[in-house]
Amino acid sequence: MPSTSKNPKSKPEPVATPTSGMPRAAIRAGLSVLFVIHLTGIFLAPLAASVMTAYRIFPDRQAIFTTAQAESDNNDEPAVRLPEPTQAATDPEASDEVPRASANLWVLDLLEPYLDIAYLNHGYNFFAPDPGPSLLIRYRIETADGQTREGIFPDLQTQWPRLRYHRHFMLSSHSLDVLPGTAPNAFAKHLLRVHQGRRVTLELLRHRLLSPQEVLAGKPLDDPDTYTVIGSVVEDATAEDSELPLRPVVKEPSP
Amino acid sequence: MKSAVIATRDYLRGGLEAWNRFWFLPSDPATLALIRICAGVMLFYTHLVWSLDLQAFFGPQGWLPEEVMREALRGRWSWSYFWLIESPLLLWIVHLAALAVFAALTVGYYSRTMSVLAYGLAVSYVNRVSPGAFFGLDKVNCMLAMYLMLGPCGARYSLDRWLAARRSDGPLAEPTPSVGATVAIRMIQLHMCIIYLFSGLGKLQGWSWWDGTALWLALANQEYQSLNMTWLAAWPRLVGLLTHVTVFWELFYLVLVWHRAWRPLVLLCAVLVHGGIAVAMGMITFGTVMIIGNMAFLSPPFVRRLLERTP
Repeated sequence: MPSTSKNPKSKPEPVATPTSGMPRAAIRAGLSVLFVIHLTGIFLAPLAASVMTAYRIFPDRQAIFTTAQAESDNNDEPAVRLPEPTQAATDPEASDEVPRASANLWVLDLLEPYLDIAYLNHGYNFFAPDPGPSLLIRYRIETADGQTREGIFPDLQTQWPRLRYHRHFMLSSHSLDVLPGTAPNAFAKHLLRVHQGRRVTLELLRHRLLSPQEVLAGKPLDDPDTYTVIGSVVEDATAEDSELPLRPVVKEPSP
Repeated sequence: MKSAVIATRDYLRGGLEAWNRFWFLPSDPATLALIRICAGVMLFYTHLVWSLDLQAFFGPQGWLPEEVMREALRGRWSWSYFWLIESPLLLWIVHLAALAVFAALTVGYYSRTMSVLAYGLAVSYVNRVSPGAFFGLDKVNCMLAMYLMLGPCGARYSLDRWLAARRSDGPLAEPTPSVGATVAIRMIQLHMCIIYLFSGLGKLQGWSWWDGTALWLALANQEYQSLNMTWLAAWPRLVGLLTHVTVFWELFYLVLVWHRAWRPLVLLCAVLVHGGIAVAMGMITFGTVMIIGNMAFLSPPFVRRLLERTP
């Protein structure tokens, strides 16, 4: 906008901000406070998740203070030594659990009720820190009539559409990390109920990734040696596990 | 000194005016309405698929028994009405009602009410299966459902508007620009920026996004694979380039997407990245919902030209 002043060197008048339709100043101020609180929360939640990922990668981070000091007292080695990184979480979103009172983020403690209730208290570590191998669950069920049923999940052959398959994939992926110590047993009990089994053996498989060189050499992605059993669970049926009474064994008449 | 004070005062005043324009300038609800339709479809489909395993995932004794989940969420404020449901019949009744709500939101019937119900339902569903069977799709679904509540998401392209037109004596007036629509869209835009920022920062905690091998690790995962892209094994430089473009795009999204000159390129990258995830890695729903979130950066006039075929 050209200056209205007679002095050609004076600065132009600032353009007036159109305010038609805007709420009153007091309402704008109040809403602005709420916006800032909300935005602070949705920023701090993934920040805390990233902090916990860092803790998971470097569990010995406190050693930087103790080990380095003891060594520097004894020799000429540098006092600073970086802790060795451990293998990062392999699940694409395993590090999204926001811990309680995490990482000195005290503001997050204040906002946690709101973030939890609104389902905002999580991170966005998509394929982070690194895409990793998959976890699958293979099971073998022994029924009361002596039959054996085997299966694996996720399984594209039996779980369709793709979203359904992915839900089961997330179950197996999170079985060790997000629900440590409880998920495999819970899965085993569920399989017993569904198949009315007497005993179930459940194995956790890690399906490692092939290198580009291995693929170029002709190795298939599902080569048997890419699967490793990393844990197993055996559950026997109890009265509480059965939704229906076990069917009695019916013997076929001999020919 | 006086000039410094004046300059500071003008700077702060300019910042306040920019804040007001950013949040409180009424805007056409066309973009919000488009997001309502797309997010509504995604919410409906997401929860329709649960029908195939409803008892297994949401019953008190399934893959994720209630006592296990309550222990996993101990100390948290997370809530779900599924904690109150034990009867399979009641579970199905509530589930079918939820599907009806998502469908009503999609078509824009009692849009404002349905948006509130849809958000509460989506949160209840995901909290029942988190931790466990959740993933990024659920986070973005709930995010979009939350912000749809803030504005008149049914003001355009809705059954509400069509019914209002039928009841009206003459031509129905154009929807008035709305501060609620502006707030809702701005929240989606900022939330998308935060998602990409921390997705990128999270990748920097690993090694494969630095050395360019991360894309290979993702594509070589058979459980994710829906399109065989392992031919890229012979193209390590291309894999490295795509890996680095992905992480830098995520990190710089929150800066570049606001610039008119860069926005088309940033949004094109979003379509390519998430389209690639959908096609090659089997995460059609996640790829689609992220593209829906990016729609918040489409201007209302553009949306109207797109949907109303007006010049």
